[in-house]
Amino acid sequence: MATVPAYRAVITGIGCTSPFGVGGSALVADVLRANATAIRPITGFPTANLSSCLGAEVPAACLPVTEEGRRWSRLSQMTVLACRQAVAEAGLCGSDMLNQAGLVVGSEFGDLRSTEAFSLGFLHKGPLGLSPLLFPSTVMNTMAGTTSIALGLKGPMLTLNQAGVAGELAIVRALALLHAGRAPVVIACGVDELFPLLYETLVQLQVLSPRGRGAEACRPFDQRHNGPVLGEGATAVVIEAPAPARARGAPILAEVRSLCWGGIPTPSGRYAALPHAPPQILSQALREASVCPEDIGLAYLSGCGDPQHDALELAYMTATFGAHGPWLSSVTHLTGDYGGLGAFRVAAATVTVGTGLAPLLDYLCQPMRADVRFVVQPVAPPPTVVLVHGLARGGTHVALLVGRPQGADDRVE
Amino acid sequence: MSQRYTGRNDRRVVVTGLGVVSPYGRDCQAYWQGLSQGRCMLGPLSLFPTEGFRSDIGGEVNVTITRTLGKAHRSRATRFLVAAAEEAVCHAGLGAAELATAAISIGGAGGGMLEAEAWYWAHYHQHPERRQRVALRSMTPAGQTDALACRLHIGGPRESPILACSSSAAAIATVADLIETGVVEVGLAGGVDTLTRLCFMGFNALKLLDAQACRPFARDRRGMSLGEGAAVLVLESWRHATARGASIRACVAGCGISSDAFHPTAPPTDAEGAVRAMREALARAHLTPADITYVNAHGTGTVQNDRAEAVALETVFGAGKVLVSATKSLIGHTMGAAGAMEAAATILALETGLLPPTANLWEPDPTILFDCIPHVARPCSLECAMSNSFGFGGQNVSLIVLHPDVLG
Repeated sequence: MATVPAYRAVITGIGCTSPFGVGGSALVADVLRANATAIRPITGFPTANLSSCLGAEVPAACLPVTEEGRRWSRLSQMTVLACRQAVAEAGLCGSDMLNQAGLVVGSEFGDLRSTEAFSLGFLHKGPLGLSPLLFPSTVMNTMAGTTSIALGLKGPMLTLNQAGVAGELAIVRALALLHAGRAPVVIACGVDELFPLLYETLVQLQVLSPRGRGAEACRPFDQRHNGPVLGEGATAVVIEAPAPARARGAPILAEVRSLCWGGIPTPSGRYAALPHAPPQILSQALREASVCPEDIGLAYLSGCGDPQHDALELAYMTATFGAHGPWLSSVTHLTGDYGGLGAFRVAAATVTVGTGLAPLLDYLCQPMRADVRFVVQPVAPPPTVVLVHGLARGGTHVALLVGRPQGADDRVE
Repeated sequence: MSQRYTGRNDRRVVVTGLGVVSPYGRDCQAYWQGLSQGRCMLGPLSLFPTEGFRSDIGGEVNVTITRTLGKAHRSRATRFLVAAAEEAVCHAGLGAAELATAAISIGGAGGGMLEAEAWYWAHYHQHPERRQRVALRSMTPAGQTDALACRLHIGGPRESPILACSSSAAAIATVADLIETGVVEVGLAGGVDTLTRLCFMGFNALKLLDAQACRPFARDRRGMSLGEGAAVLVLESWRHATARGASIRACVAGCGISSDAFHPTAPPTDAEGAVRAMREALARAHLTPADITYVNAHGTGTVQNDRAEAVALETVFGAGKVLVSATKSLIGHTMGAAGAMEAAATILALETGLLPPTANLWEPDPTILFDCIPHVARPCSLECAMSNSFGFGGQNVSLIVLHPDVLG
């Protein structure tokens, strides 16, 4: 477990390529306000022979049709669009700061579509069938590389591979880069896409809803949960040190008040092996932000509908906050689940502290626990500090506190 | 040295443990013995068929070595990584308490792709019975990092940076940042990659594989040879290391990270991004170019990359002002593991006062104005050295390591 000590940063821009379209903080606010799920039967590939058919797909119409965009893989297109939108919202278009800007991309699987297409070239035609244009996309840093070229980002560029919480980790690493003085501004992006063979394999392994029981649906924290439903998308946030951001007149959407992250050593891929006693990460994040548990108005959880994951996360919440914990919410029932989704959770938290909007878990008929408060109606008063909590298979664990911006001139865009 | 390295005293980042799995063997000693003897390990590959490709050679870790690397049901990459990390932790004398809060960052490019390919091949040829679940568990690089964290009970921040061929150099840089800024006291940083069909096919498609053993910085160089391996460094704050009486092997004085924002696979001809990475590393180390004696080059053996790196070295240091060698000529390009393996080689060079040679350099490229230490290791008393790593996507990482005597 570790924290970036006594360090604050501000979020000045948001960009999303999502099943709801492409946009910035206004799009995220619309998603939270509408509370309408993007999960529906998948149309991008056949699922007729599978026991699952649901997903949240980014519509083809959202992706670029320009000559430049056609050269990029689908996943890189999503990443570039999200980062471009975030940079625009932060008022950085054309800025010299982009020459020094850092970029961190978090992804669980990277560009498996390109990897398969490249491999099929060989399987169909042997060495002569291999495409030199596809090969670079088989390396997981292809989304970051493409984005840095498209946006002219010349600072440190990292891609982090991580199950479950790749989006949160991208934001954590962005803060660490700022803290180390490696860049004046960092764009952090979480991204993953639906990939037919992975989907099919996860269905066969009974990882996805419905796992042979009940109806297929994404219902985190409800006793009827029976596995996750996959989604896809890219969400980017622009993160800066507060003083320079204010000095350049950037829109301050929210502050990152603290972050804490670590790993729980456990056999890879098993939630069951994780301890039910919470690691100190949550309480440490509160201490670092100098806030009490009662100050946390709302928490975005990473619960995805996997019964063990949901149970663990709720156990951590109750053990940390007791009976007076924050309102608990989630975006997963709207977006579907994917490794880079944490960046969208942080974007949602940013909007929540500015507007009070939060997704309603209106599908909850049989909540898993009675000793926690789920958001089933609009939250009042609007939370000023929101927890974003991520827990991954393999034990990587992240807690970020996102707060309403402080300072007379700050305003929420 | 123009200015003694005294920056940030207690937070200086030191190396207290090293572990390496390489084509030479399963430990650091075998690795250094092989490198310093200039023994080229590039030979016929046995891991997968190579018919129809431009090359059939590489730096493979042979079966005699792999038999000694723990449980066979783990992926090849995980076995390499665990062995390297266990050696590093043992050298450093780290205990359970230190590991419980240590950071871990393991860079890679392919992860357990060798097994994932076998899974996919079986899927494609409709042999579901041959699809092994280990392939899915270890498919991504994070799978190896998780497996290592589980094995050694490492509980601190965990990352798997993917920066193509500079992945593990970036892992060292980012863990060093966490130590310097007071986030953690101890961290394991390194990388692992194994030979894979995918990588072999990819560089073949790009026409970047040399049919013969690669010849970095040679006039007639024709491309790279691939290799495999793992290296892990134990990094600590100077304060922590000295408090527990650990033996300090080197200091990671400065790291530079930059992007070209230029082309997916090619560097710009002026190597501007590489220059920025080297200069950032020097600035963070509070050193001048004149302080650096030796550079372990990225040196892949491709026409374009070697040329660009030489331009960058000229720009930063001046023609002929540093000694340069490319250890990829001995073991091949180990992809995501290369940065950490070469950082380890650079530290071993500091410790022994012996610079590893560039193999196969019979006829140096006359436009590359550096002494590239052909064939035979060179005795040289040195205090400061640099290790460069560059990758697809325009990723540049430069590390500067110091002899512990310089710390004062």
